[in-house]
Amino acid sequence: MDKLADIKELVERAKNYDAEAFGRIYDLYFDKIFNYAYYKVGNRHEAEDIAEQVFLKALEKISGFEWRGAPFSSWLFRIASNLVIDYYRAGKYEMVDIACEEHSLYDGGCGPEEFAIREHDRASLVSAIKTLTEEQQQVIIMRFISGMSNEEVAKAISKNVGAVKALQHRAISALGKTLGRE
Amino acid sequence: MKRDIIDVLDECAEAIINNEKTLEECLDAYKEERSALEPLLVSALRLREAATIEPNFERKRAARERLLAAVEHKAWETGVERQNMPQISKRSPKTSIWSRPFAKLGIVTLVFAMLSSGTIVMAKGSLPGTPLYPVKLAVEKARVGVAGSDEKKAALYLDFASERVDELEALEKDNKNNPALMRAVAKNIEAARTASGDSAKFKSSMDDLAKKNRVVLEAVLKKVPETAKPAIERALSNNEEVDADDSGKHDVKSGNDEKDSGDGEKRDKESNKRDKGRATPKSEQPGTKKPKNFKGSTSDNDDGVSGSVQDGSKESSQNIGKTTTGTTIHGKNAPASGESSGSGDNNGYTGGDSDDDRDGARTQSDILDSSSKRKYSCSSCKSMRSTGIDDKE
Repeated sequence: MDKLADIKELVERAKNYDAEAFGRIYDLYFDKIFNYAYYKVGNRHEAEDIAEQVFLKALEKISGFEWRGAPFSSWLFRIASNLVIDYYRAGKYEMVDIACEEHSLYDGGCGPEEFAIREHDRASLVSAIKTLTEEQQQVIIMRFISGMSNEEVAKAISKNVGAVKALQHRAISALGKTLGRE
Repeated sequence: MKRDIIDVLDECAEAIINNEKTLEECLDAYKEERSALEPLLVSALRLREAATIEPNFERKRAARERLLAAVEHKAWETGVERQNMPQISKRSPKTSIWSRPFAKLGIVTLVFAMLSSGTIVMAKGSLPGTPLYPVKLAVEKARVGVAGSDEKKAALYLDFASERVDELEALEKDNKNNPALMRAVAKNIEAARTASGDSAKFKSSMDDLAKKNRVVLEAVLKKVPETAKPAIERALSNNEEVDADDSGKHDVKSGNDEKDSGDGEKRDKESNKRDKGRATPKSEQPGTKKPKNFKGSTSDNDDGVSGSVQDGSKESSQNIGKTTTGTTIHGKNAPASGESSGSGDNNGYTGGDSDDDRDGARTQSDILDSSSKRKYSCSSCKSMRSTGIDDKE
């Protein structure tokens, strides 16, 4: 069974509220959604909450999901994108020093010095990403952090593949300049 | 021919994302574009390497459990779960035959015709898996359909919950883990609560149900989904409080007996009179006649109680002000908001667009949150036993 057919079967079962199918969908996509949310909001706890909300919302809406040539992941990322927008609209967010937050929450399995350097790099990256336009951020995070294909990204942000490639090029150019100035 | 840098970058980015090529391999493959490509690929590589982080394992696991509990609740709420019980109609509410007046009349007529044939009498004692069990469920549904008032419907739902408990007990030897039947118990209790508006009468009736079936309900409680627990917990906690209240009352009464032994006989008569209105099991009060209550466990008598219940009703009126907290689980008469919004505007890609969508997600998580935090109290139920339940058909 190929991956697409496998996912289609999972989604069909999930539409009948099959808990096991939902569990597998969660396992497949949670980390990707979490990473997307993390780079959008810059806060681990908020990112985890948003990722959880994405799946709860997917549960509410899955009965109306229809295959229209778009991957299922695009649908999930679209929900995630809207939740991130709602998050910023609500104005309840607070800027968190990611490096400090990571120290308190995550043991990366490396020495403190290496860990600190890595987290500093990540914090710089998050800051640099935030200088991009909204669409550029979407493309960069979905492509390089969540590992989505051009087609998936295109469906998720309602653009064509050519536009995604162009956004990707502009985003990486801008990112390089920002990171190079540090 | 020199290729467009956008396409070259995309091709190399794809290879880097999939770990198919290194930076140097990409640059070697596109020597003409090397000067323009190199800084872009360095940034892309940095992005890729620094990017992925792991969510907190415990929080991820806890979120997964909450999601699965929500899925289970959703399945139950929308009736998918009931497909596991072949005896129960799979017809959706929108197409229910009960929404058509003439069909309703026809079914009612048919039910009464069947009454005369004795089929229903035979079906009444049937168990899940037996040929007449679907008839039993159909009759139950018909009774709800013609019940009229919500109060009567609530009484019927509780009656059916009690019936499912009896069936569980009867099936216990062969099938101890019948989740569909257990959920049917909880679902009927919730439907009763919804129909009654969480009234004092409902609490009183729940008290009776819990008193009679405490052991079974405790077993059910362990096996139903998290979201289905509140109704049963409510019943059991009500019952605990009633037990505590009752024991306190007996202590006071016995104290009085010691002080005023001369009036003992008179008080015994009054006490017996009050006890007749209660659903206290025979084993708990030796020497007293087993009272009738809204759902007799051993008889088919549906007459309920009369006369002596009045005392209980009067007592209860002093305590009605103390009510239980609300619950977010909806019975079949009150589908959750998420259900209606979920099937409405969504058509795949429009899924998470609107604010309503967000509300839907919050509703679901709120259900879980409130379910886990809810505490129940019932001080009014101690003396509300059986009142109004005799309206049951």
